[in-house]
Amino acid sequence: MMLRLTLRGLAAHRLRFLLTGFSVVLGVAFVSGTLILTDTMDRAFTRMFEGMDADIAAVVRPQQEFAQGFAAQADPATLLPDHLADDLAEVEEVQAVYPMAEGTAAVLGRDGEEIGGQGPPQVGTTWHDRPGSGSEIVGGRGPRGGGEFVLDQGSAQAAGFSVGDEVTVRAGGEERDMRLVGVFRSGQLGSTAGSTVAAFDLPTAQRLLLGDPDRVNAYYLDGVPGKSQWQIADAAAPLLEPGMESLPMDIVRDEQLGPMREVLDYFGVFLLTFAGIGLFVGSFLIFNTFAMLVAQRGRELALLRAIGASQAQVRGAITGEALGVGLAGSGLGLAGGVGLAWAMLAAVEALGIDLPDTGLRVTPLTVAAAFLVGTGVTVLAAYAPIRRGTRIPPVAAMRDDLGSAVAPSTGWGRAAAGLLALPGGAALIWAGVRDPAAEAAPWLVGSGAGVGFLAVALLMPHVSRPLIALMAAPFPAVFRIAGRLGRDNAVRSPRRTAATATALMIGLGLVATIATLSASASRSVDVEIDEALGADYIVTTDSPTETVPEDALERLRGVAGVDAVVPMRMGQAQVGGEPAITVSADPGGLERTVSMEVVRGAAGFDGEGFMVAESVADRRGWRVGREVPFVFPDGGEARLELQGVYTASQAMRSDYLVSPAAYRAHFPQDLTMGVYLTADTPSPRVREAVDTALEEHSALEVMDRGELKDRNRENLALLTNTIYAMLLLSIVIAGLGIINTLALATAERVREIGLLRAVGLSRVQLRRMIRLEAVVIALLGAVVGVGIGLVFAWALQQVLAERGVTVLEVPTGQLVGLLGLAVVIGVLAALWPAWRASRMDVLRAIATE
Amino acid sequence: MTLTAPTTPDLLAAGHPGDLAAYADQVSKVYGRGDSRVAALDGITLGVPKGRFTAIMGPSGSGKSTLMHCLAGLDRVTSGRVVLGGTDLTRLGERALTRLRRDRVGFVFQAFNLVPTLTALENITLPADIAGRRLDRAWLDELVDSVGLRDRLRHRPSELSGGQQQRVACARALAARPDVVFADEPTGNLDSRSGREVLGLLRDSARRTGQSVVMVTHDPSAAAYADLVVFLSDGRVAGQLADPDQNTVLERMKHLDGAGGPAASAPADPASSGGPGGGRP
Repeated sequence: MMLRLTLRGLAAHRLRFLLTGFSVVLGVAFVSGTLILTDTMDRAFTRMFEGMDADIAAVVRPQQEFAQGFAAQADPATLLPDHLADDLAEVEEVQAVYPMAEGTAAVLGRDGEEIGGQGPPQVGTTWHDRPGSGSEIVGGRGPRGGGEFVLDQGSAQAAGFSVGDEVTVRAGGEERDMRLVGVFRSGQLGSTAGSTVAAFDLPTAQRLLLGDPDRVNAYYLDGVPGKSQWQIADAAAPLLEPGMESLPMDIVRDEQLGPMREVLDYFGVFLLTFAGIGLFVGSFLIFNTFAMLVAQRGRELALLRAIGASQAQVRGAITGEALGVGLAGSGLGLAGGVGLAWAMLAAVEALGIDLPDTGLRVTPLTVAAAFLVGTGVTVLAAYAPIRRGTRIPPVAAMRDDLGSAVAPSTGWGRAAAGLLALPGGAALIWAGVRDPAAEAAPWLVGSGAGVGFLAVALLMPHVSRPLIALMAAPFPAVFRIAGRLGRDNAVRSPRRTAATATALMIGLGLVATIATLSASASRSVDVEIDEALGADYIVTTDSPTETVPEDALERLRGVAGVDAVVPMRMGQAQVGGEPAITVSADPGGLERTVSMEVVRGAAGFDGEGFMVAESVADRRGWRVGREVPFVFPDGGEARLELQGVYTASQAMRSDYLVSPAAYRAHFPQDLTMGVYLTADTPSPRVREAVDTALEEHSALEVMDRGELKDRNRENLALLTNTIYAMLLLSIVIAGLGIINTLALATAERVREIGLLRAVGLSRVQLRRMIRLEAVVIALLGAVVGVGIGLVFAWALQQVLAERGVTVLEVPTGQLVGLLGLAVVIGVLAALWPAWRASRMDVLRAIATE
Repeated sequence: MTLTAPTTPDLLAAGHPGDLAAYADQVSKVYGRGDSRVAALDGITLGVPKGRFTAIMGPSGSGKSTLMHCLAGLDRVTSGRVVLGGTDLTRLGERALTRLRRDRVGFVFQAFNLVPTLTALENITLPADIAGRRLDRAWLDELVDSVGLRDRLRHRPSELSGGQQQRVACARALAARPDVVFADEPTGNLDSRSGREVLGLLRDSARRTGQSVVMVTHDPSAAAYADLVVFLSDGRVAGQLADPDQNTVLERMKHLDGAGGPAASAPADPASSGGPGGGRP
């Protein structure tokens, strides 16, 4: 019987459940879409590497604490001497040795642009004819000699190259024309995920990719049959020199996949965070629907109780409806998730990451998560209204004043909870702001923000009335009676209005936070550049694996009008037992190009020595004069004297500064990642001369201070726009919530609307009335959201001040735009409910009980 | 003074529609089609005299509410003409009908139908506010005094008794001095004392200010307040009664109920019917 009631209830309120269900669908689609996407990409990447290098049992390579991270491929210090090949071949367990030289090699298309653009990596590697390698020549032959190379099939097809073509290859900062002698298929799937892979014979690869004909990156070992990978790796171990390691291929492959899996995991968590926000926002919509449903059906529920249904049965019937909505929403959401994952994969491919087509991967875990999340959120959000419904006393069926029986409690309990939570959130934020250097500071502010949102949500029903009165004060004057009625309607059901506005508040509040933080970060960088950067021009490479060649430095020094040329050299080392990236620059030049303040010790270097940022000195308790042990990539060791402590700035971000003398003495080769230039007087003429000097180095990029600011702004905009796009989900759901609330409200006020129409309110006025109610609700959410957003942004800025966001900049224009957006959302959300209300038959409306 | 089918066709034929606040001319209202076809009004012709309090009575299903809705421009007729204050409503579009309701018609409903967010005073001025007009101050004062609500004007409907709410509704209907005030069972939800107050109010507005009032009711004691009672049966006029009292109305109602059916739609007992100007018993 109760099941039948549930089903009838669902059928009778189809329309009402439509929007509620839709919000569940959206949230679940986002969750399941994310899971499907990451699962699918994980499988695609795994499959891509499957069968590749299956013939290799072990790898000899430099120890990884040096070879990881920046410039791993370009850093000659992480290379092995190539004379080991013969020794390794002598080992009994080793059948064959393949020395590998790998690095970056861009292949230029007929249009002179790099194939694959700036996105996926451009790999250069060594070609060995290995039957078991998983890569096979499908056209032409393998490369022999300095003028030849082979290219992966996908890239060759994309660029329209065929075997025998003359092709420009850029490697080691130089471009040269080479003959494409073969095309190969990579792995079982023939996919390189959009990367270009150019392969050369060993001497060519060593020369082009490593710039050193006597070194290699690694040795691949083919083992004799019947030996395990570990046995082969161990067999090679005695031959190794310091700084080398020998590992089974399986482990190396896991390492290759590891970082990618990590990226996928981050990506998944990033997306799921926004899915979670969306679902949370949706729960307000669900709450409203069930609250209103219970209120409207109070008499029916009381009647059920009067004729003998137990509280549990009534609860069962309504909970059943929530379950039904949740299950249907989850099912549709899962289907939507498949579509969403498909669309996101298409977007990923549009970015140039060409994944092999392995089909979408929908795991049982994804299905379970979709249904659990969808029904769970629905039932939880509906819990409070359902409980209220079961408390309707049976006598209410006989009474007229049903209202009081189902009306929500005064909500003072909620308000009290909100009043308690508010200082709690404030305290958390304050704790974070007070000690911004602490590791926990961002987390404190973040959780404080969460508690703050919750507190405001709880207090919203109580603050909504005065706030709306304030915001909508001009409505009656401007919109006459429609304004008056619209404003008053918005505060008639404070709890419902509050829940609806809160849903929008969350999305818009986060947008306001991000907008303010992003503006602050941009402004901070501008200020840093203005105050801390003395250089007029900066030369950088367009890929972190490339360096500025010495030749380019020479040319820059020769440019008329250029005053100082300060190369920023980098190197990896273990400093006092910790891996670190160090910078080395001539202190005289550095002083002119970056303002760095040496707070302790001498302002310049004396022979071999180093300086550290203040934060590092404090953390490690180092004083000037201390001798700190360094271990260099080639295994060399030295003790260097700490000669100074400086404050890091945006222009000098590195924590370790090594004196040029020490750099020359211990790092095997100059790794120039960038160059700071000052001009006698900066002018377009000087700039032009610098550009001309670097004409032949197409991988180098020159920026003046303005361009540097712009570049930084663009990078930041990319991130903020991505976050905005993700927050759109919750804003859309909140918009649905407004539609839902208006639809429910007009359904409740049918008779009143009929009366207004009967006494002469025109359809236009009626629609305006409903529209204004929507705008008031949306504005309430936006105003409170922007307010909280500003507080959070301020707190986060305080915490991030240590990390470079030194200035708080309020993007007034954007925030006002956000309020405008809220008005638009309100107007859009009112379209359908207003249209429906204006189509209402006046007579029938008046007669409605 | 005619004894047969009261007044209207004759008046219309005689070219005196100017004496009528509103009239229906050969009006039919049909719901449904085919087998489920129901004629709520069956070619009815009837006039509402100006400046009088007219009651429309009839058993349920007689079409009295439908007639009122059609006269007030709330509902559209299937055929025939409805004229209110010289305007043919059947020729008006939705927009013009809305304006007409706003400016020239007042409503009092059984279920009060006040806007809960507005105060008593604001409910009274609502139609004027919708139209963007200001009410004449003196007239508003007079109105407020006549409904006896001066001390309740700042209250919201939920703070008023049923009788008070209905008096607010009356004041709202009267405020714009419309061509006709239509009252649909205005006492249906009230106790008898409040009911008497409301009926007295409607009668006085007709007597004192010449306001035309049409009331639909099935309560003979309510109808007794009217100047003229028109009886309806099966969608047709079944007779009328001038200066009624409770007993004569009851008598006539019995007759209607007993003689239900199309045959009885002809003019009833001539002895008790009279023209609008008929003398008091």
